[in-house]
Amino acid sequence: MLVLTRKSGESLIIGETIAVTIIEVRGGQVKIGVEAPREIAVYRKELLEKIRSENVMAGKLQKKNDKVVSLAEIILKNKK
Amino acid sequence: MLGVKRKTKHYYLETARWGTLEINPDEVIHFSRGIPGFESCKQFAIFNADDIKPFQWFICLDHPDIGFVIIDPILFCPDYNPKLYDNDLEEVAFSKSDQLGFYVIVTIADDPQKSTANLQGPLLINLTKRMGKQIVVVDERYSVKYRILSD
Repeated sequence: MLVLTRKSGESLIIGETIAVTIIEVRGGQVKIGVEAPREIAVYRKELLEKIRSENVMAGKLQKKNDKVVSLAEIILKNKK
Repeated sequence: MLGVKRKTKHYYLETARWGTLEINPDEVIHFSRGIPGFESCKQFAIFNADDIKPFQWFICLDHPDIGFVIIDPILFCPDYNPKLYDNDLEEVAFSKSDQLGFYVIVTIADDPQKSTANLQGPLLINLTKRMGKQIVVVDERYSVKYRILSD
């Protein structure tokens, strides 16, 4: 991991198309501005962790086949 | 005889969890980085089972004890159309004429009616090239725990 120290108002350039700016440092929080092309996704890391842990939970299906069957039945019933 | 479909390409996989699976190599989907939490699962296949329609099984062929319930999100979210980023399209080798599709992974709850679908981390599938990626949908409108039976 590249570690740099920046002050409010200072920036980093990543590749040639992404700029990260420290906008404000207050209390234990840092306000960060990111300029990036629209084709590049920028998101909080927690989002990836949320997806990972949801996958793990969903994968624990083990012996719940009957629950899937009953959910399927409810959905089909709702459609009629 | 012309036009007769021969199943010579299909092969069978013996699994403890699902019994014998019949697999068509042309339908296997390759996830080059696996999916978060299951990075070593690179080959998946989708299986139908009449008793769970409209849901389907999404089974890892590398580790067949690993499988998920999936569903087409259009069935309960007709305008589901999350933005795709360059990295997403690159990872599924997308080119202009390819057909893309989404599936979402379902988390079955103890009370089945409280089951949820992950709309924030859908499976993006390049149906033409048989490649997939679980993408991150940045749009906060879509929930990781979308209640399928919400009204």
